[in-house]
Amino acid sequence: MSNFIPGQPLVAVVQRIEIKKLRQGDNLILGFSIGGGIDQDPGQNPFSDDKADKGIYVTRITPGGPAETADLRMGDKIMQVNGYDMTMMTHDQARKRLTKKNEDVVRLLVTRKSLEEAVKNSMGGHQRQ
Amino acid sequence: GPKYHLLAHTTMSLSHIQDSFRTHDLTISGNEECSYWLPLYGSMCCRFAAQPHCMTRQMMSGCLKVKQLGGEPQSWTKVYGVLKGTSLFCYHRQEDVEANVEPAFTIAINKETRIRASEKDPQSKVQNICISNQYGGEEVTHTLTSDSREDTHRWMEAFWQHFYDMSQWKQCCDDLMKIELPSPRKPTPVTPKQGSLYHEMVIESSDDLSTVSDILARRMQELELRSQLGTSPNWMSLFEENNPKSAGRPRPCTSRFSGHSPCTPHRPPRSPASPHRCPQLSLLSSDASLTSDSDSHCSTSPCSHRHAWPEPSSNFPLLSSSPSRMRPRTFSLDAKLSTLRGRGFRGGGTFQCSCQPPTSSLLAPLPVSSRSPRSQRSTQTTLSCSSSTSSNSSSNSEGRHSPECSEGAPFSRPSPARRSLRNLRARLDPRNWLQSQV
Repeated sequence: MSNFIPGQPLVAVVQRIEIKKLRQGDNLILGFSIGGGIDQDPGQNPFSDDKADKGIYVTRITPGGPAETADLRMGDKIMQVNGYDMTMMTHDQARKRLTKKNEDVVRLLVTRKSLEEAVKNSMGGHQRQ
Repeated sequence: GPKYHLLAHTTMSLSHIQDSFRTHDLTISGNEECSYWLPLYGSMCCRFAAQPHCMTRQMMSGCLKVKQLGGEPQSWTKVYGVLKGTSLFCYHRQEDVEANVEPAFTIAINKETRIRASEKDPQSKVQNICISNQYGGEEVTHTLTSDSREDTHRWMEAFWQHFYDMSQWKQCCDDLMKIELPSPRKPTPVTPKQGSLYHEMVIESSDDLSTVSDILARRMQELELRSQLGTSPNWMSLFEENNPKSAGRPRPCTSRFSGHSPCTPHRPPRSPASPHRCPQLSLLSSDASLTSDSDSHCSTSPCSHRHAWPEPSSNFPLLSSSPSRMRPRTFSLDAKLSTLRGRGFRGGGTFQCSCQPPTSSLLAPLPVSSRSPRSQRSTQTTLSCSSSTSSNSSSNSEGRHSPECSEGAPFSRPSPARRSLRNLRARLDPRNWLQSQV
């Protein structure tokens, strides 16, 4: 997504997503699954455009879960969680950052292809002049 | 000089010497709280070979007389014998050894060989040496003697020493292990003038990230200018690295170094000549870039992690210096860097992205990963979600696929949707790509 080059400043169109965790017994769940990480093989990521992108991606949304309610979508790349950058994280660190027991809400910044395209298209009118 | 931190170690001894590659467990020192922490996987591969001297050098040589087998009892053949490795080579003449002429014959000297001194020959009053080997089912005995008692004695001693050496070196004396000498390579010229982005960075107020960003910004501009002149700084090549092997599985890898350690056990690996091969490690160990207070035990690290100890004099002193400053706890350096975009940076040099270029169509179908042929996937139609991967995170880490998984935005084309969905499920096989439920 968006010309990801490790170490270089990244420009991305992001969407804010606020997920309220759901308490299930002793656990606080968000209702989605993640894949990716700097310690994982980026070639296995079916969602990324750039097969060297080691970012954290949403791989599945539990139907009816808090993430779905908050309009998180499969294939979204998570850029930030509660202000913490997620683009250079190991898989386990990312998981932990999302599952902090003392946080009820996670505010994510995610990017997705459709967002980029929407912005591009909406600016298309100007460019075509 | 630069300060080193021991990240991990392993101990290898005689029993580890083998003619093939093996995986060894690393004992990892330190933990995430250390400033130099790296998520090492926990094992390393290498080939640990040895060439004992008894295998490579002439342990004994001299003139001998060998009794002809099946000939007249008193006929002896004069030979020049050389004891080396698992054989006693008998040459017609001493000059043949230097001239590389084939020996007249060879007598095996190995763990199965039995050597004894026989009674004194009645005529010459010198003891004979009898060497017995099993060839096939038969026992073959060669009888040797020398010109004097002292010589015979010396030969017997040589044989005893040889047997002792072989018993000590054990498996190293079965066959000669091949050890290649590395070809002389010109060391990568380190140009101190260019340096790296971090090399010459001096930060007065240690925690001020905006200072860091400013310095980086300035350096980027300098480097951009310089690269336009055609020279790309060494560290740029970091980002050209195509690293397809960073799966979290301990695959034995043919890393460049391994196998070339001559008979010195317990040495840590030599650092590579070129710093070109550790893409993400320098970023990881920078204090500023990672968020803190996570206690994962260890994460996977790419298989080529043997490159985790780059030359200190090369471009990443950030790794080796021991920062006394505190780790900033708020925004990561990356987040700050993203604000630099307004200054119109694009790194100089060529970034060859060795992966596929991003597709420009709006609803891009799943990009075909060049590494996983479809045929491979189609045999995995049963998505068994019970596999736990080799990652070592402590809690649940499996992706589950409910059949009514809703397709997300990227797959809104109706007709290839089904195919994409099936494809997608196959590619989300947790055996190939770790997924965690949160």
